[in-house]
Amino acid sequence: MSNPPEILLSINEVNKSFTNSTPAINVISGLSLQVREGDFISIVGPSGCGKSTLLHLIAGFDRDYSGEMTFCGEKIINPSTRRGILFQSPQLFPWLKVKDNIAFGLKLQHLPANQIEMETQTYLERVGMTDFQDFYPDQLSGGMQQRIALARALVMKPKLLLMDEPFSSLDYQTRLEMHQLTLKLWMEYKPSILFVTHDIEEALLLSDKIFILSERPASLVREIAVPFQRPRELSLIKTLPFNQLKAEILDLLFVLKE
Amino acid sequence: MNKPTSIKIDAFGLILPAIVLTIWFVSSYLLGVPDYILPAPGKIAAVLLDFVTGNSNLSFYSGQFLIHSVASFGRVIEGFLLALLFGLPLGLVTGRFILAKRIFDPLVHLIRMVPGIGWLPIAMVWFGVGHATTVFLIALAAFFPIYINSALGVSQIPEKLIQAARVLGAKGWALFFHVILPASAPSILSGMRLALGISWAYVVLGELTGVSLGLGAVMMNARMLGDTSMIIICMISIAFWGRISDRVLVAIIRRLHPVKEVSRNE
Repeated sequence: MSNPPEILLSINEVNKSFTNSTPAINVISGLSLQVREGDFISIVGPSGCGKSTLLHLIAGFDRDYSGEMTFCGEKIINPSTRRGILFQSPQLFPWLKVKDNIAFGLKLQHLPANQIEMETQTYLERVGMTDFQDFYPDQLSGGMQQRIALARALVMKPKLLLMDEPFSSLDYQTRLEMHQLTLKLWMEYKPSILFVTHDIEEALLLSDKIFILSERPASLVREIAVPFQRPRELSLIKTLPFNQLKAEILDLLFVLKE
Repeated sequence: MNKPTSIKIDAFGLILPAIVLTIWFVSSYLLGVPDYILPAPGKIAAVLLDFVTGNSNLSFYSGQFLIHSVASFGRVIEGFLLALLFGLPLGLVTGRFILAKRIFDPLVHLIRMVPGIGWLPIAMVWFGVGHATTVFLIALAAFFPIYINSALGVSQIPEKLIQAARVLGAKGWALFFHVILPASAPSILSGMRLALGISWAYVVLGELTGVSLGLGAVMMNARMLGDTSMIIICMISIAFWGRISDRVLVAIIRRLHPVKEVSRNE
């Protein structure tokens, strides 16, 4: 009998408010959740409910919160290379070529040059951008830039990848491609993923579990297990169980909005 | 990808200069405008050549182009470097830290309200007539564009870009050198170029007040001697050196930091 995977991230009764406005705005209130190793979890909730703020806290950008938040058993106080992040916009370094963007974090770790080169080439290949390695980011399309951002995050071998609506500004076709790529890389490297989205289909297609957050101040309302087998085909979105689950989640979000 | 800077000339851009030149020729050679108002193009060319080479002893300043240029150039570099020394670090810190901005910004903008020329008399009181006053005026005037643009460049870096870098392990000086500095480089560069242009303006101002060497000094003396061609020749020389120094600055920065965006600011 195999044990369940280790708990990677544990959030316990976390509260967060923005105190620089009067009155202070409570963004997160009494939120608790857990992420285990290898989990692919989507977070959905009404817009403006504090999903991005939650990812910020987990990333370690902001230590002004109360409650307990541990990653690999350690309290989160600073950003760490073990927790990668992907934003809605790629946030590549415009002054660096594609390959140097990917190598950025490795160079900061002062790894041997040939190892950096090898890793960079590996990940360039994984995201299908080998031919564009000498380009500058702004010479590439939004989808290509997001591929590079994905490679730049994964090359650090993070245990947890935070994805903050990473594909929502891409066109539909490109978004579907990115879904496939994300799934492929996830299967290969198995980082845990926390995927914030407002697209329920996206959440159902990609993740094992969906966390539904309440209206602000956010707390965890429901944990929904996504039962569909992997690998998942796009045709899944035409099936009845898929649409039933989607309708259920939509209902839940509507109720929350009221 | 290092292609030599090719000089492209747009024919449309030549139309107006050609007209101006024609008017100059016509007024000098056909309408007989006197030399003390506007010297003829041929005379300017001859005196300019003599100013540079010293072959024909046409003016009091025959062959002195280089020493005066060197004197002016030296002051520009001294003042500009002083401005850079103070403006860049202060601007970077102010752009990054709100507390620094709250401390420095009000004073800087208060000082900036006094136009550079307004500092001339007090500078003469403090530093006397001549070199030190000139350098002070240049440093003061060139400080502001460097300070303001550096601060602006840093403050405009998207917070998410910095967060992305922090997650990749950049912090402290590494964050500064590998992210903040290159991300704000285009803005810093345009501040430096503005400052260099201003430096050439203020070197003239400072030198007008009475130094023996320098293009501004020659200009002022020539005016008193009624040598209009020399005045115009100095104007041309200053424009020439201003342009050269700008190209050199851009080249240096490109070498230090081969950012594509540098070219976009041109």
